[in-house]
Amino acid sequence: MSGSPAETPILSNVTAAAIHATGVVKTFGDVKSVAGLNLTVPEGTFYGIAGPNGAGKTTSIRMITGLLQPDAGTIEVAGVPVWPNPRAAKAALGYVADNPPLFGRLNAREMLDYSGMLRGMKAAEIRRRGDDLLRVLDLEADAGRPIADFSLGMTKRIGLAVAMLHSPRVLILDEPFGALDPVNTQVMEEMLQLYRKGGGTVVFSSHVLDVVQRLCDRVAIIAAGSLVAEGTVAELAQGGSLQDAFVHIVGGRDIDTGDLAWLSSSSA
Amino acid sequence: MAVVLLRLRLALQLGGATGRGVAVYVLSWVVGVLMGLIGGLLVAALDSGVTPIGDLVVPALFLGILVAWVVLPIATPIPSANLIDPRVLEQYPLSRGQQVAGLLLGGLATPTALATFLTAAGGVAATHAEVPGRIASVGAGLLFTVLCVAASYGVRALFAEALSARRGRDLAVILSTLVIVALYVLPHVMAPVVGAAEDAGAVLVAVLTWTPPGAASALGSALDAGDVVGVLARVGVILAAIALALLVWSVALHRHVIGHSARAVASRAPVSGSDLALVPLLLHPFRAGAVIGAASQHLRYYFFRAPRAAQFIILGPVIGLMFGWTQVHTSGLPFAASIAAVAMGGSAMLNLFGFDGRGVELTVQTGASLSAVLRGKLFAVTLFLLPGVAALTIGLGIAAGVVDEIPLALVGALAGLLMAVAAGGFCSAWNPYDQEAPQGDRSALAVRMLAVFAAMMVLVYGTGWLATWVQPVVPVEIVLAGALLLAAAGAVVSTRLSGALLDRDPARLLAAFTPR
Repeated sequence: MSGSPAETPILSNVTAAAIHATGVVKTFGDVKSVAGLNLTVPEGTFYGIAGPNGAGKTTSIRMITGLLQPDAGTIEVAGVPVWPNPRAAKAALGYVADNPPLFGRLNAREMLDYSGMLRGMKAAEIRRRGDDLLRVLDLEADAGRPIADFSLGMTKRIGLAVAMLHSPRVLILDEPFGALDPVNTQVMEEMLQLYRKGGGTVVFSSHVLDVVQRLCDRVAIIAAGSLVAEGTVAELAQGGSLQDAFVHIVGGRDIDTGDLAWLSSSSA
Repeated sequence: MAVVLLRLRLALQLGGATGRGVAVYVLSWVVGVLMGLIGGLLVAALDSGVTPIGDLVVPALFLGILVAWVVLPIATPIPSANLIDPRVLEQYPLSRGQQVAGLLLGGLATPTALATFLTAAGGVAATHAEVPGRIASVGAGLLFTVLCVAASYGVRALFAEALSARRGRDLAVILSTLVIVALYVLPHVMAPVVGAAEDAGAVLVAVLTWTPPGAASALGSALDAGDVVGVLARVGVILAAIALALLVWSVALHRHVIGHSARAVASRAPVSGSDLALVPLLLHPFRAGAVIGAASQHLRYYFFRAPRAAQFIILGPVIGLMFGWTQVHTSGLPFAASIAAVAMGGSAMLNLFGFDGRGVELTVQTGASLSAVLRGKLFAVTLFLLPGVAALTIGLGIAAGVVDEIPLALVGALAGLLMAVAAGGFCSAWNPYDQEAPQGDRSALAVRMLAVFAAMMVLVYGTGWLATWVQPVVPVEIVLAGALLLAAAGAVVSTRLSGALLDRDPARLLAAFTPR
């Protein structure tokens, strides 16, 4: 486990990195959202990124996925530099945002067609893989409905289908299991495991640490824009729960007994 | 509470504005005051009797202003003023009355509303008006402004509800388009009717002054004439109209809360075989790729998924016809066809990413060449504009009785369309904005787009002037051929440079579609 933010994690028995970020910095006005992030995600792993709200997780992910240019530092995905020209790296990437940005007035099938064509796939392949994904993600019956009419859970599922259609080498998901019912959570977990068995790398950020503990090989904890801890789940949890380890690492907060005293006497 | 919402509105208008943003904000108020004073002076002059048809023009002007308030925000692609989103207000414990009152007050605190008030209260400066009449003019101006804002917001809320259902969407598109067409056609139809019958003008004035906007225009003169009953009755008409507008608005907000705005859209059955559902039949012969993907998505949105995009399909030819018909008798068919093509092309191509919304982020995420996406969108628009412009040119030629000029006019039209492609590619890359929820400084976005449109018009008019000037030595055919070549070269160069700009700086495009 690495405890220093400036320290790049040292990986044993790993020769290739799916993601390698060094000294990444991003500032918005006076706020340093990401402050010298160093991160190495081994190829073929299930990798979790955890951190408190506002820690810089989503900003880091957007820089890794080529949607936001860092002020400093380097990022590589599958050995391809993301910046300054992220187009080549994007070919190796699939990304599912917390609330996936999609064309709301297209239906699910058309959305997959659009994504496949923009990624240069052949029509027959788009159709075949699209059918598979819609079936597995239980979206076949809704394939003709506009995405604007979908619930958030359905939107996440079609977002995942769009991200997986081109069979990327690295799949990055931001809070993937929020808004999903238990059945679809299980289906998505199985899909991601299947994808990983095929050699893919899954990186996801989540606040749901029991899911991270159950699924991930390795976990990075980000706080205040820096990596504060990294290692296998066992290394970080040290025999306890990942939740306790997380609170210990980033620092917990207790509510004083006098705080919010008015809450119980609210007249509203 | 209404005052709180008013303050929120002003804070939103000024919030985060830099020095330049503040300058634009101040400038918009200055322009509002100037436009209002000009309008007010016009009304004062007409009320003072500078022209015998003043009695007809003033109520007609008031009616025109009200129609503009109602129709333009629905029908035009220009970024409209900041609103406090009613959907945001729903989460707070506000009654419908508080919401409407707050939004109404916010709507009154805009340069457009100020310009409307100053124009409507222009009677205060009429030379022959008595003091009571002048006071009544100010009151009428205030009532008229409230009427305009309430009617505009109410109808917009109603259309927003209608637009959320497929049939309502189609209806809204058709209705707003018909209103625009009527605004163009009615004066042409009414002019000979009024001219033919001596009493027709007086009848029209009488009718107009009893409509809500016309009643507001007639309050001052009615009071000066001692017609107290007429004044009270007209105030009643205006108040009833305001109440009706507020009721429509309130009902629209209520329907939203009870879920009648659910966007249930009938779906088509999935396409069978290996055809891609996204690709329209017309594009099936082409190989699947980024260009055809972008073109297919664009065509789907225009026919008829995105209501505002679909409006262009109907409004484009109307705009082209308006521009072309006004020029065909004075400047000749080739020039009129060029103008019509530029107007049609400009209306559909100056903001090609405008209806994509959050889909823009997905487009960037795929890593596809944005240059190819831009080409696809230009290709999609050209697919329906090319036959449209050709049909309009031929129709204009037949209607104007200059069939022999049609072949040359088609060359002019093609040159105009290519110029629109050049300008559209450039403007879409340089000044992209979310047509349905513009981010950033809306005034600047609108001004830039109108500047590009004006530049196209200047180029066409300049070419027309050049053709006339050199006609003794250079035939018009040569000028048109030169214009066509230059426009084609411009389209190619602009498309390449604009695509390169998008690929080099996709963040600019992303920022335009990322909610702030």
